[in-house]
Amino acid sequence: MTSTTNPTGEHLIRIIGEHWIRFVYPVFVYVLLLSISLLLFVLAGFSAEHVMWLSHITFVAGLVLLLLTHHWFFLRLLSEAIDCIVLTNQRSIHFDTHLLFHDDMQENSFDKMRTVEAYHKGLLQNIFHYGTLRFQGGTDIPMVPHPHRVAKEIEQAMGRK
Amino acid sequence: MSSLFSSTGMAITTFLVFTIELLSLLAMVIVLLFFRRMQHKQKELFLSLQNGEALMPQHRVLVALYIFSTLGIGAISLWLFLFQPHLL
Repeated sequence: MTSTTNPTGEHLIRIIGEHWIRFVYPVFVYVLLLSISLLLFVLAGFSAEHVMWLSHITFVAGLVLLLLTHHWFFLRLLSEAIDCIVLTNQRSIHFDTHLLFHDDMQENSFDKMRTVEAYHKGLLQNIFHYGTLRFQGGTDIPMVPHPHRVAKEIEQAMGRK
Repeated sequence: MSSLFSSTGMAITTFLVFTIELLSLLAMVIVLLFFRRMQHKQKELFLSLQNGEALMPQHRVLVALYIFSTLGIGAISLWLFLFQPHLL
């Protein structure tokens, strides 16, 4: 990302997306529910010639499950796509959004903050290099890719290094 | 097509299927409107930082994928229901 400056002197250093691991759970649930809905469609097809009412019920059930799963999955994807960490020379801003449900924007000004910690916790976080950033005052940002590198950049932005 | 309303059960099923498809389209429109609203909010922040064109990602591919997959699922399921139940 390139850096550009505004009249107040605040310039963008980097936009950090959250780690791809956040997509694993929605994709797993999506594939599972999609398979169940496809099975319901197959059952509807098998019973179409013999038991029409069963075919209708399974078709409608499969369709409802398929569409609910589809919209839930894309709601998650679009929400995750909006989430990011914006790092400027004066503050960091974390967007934590779940479309239709909540919309949080956490801001940490470097004027009031002196330290930022980064840590990996557990096997998965160590293998896939993601973790949590903890700002002074207890604000946590989870699912940050390469959190130590990001913490270093934030400290540089604070002017500590 | 005439068999769609041949019995009360068939008529109810046809009505249900079309209602579900319409609700699906409505759900997509609502989600996309909320998404655009959030993007607009982010864009204001980005513009205030940079004095110019925002660097924020647009996610056009994801939005297009959502629209086309929703329309595709709707079209295929309606086609199966109306014309090809033996293929299910």
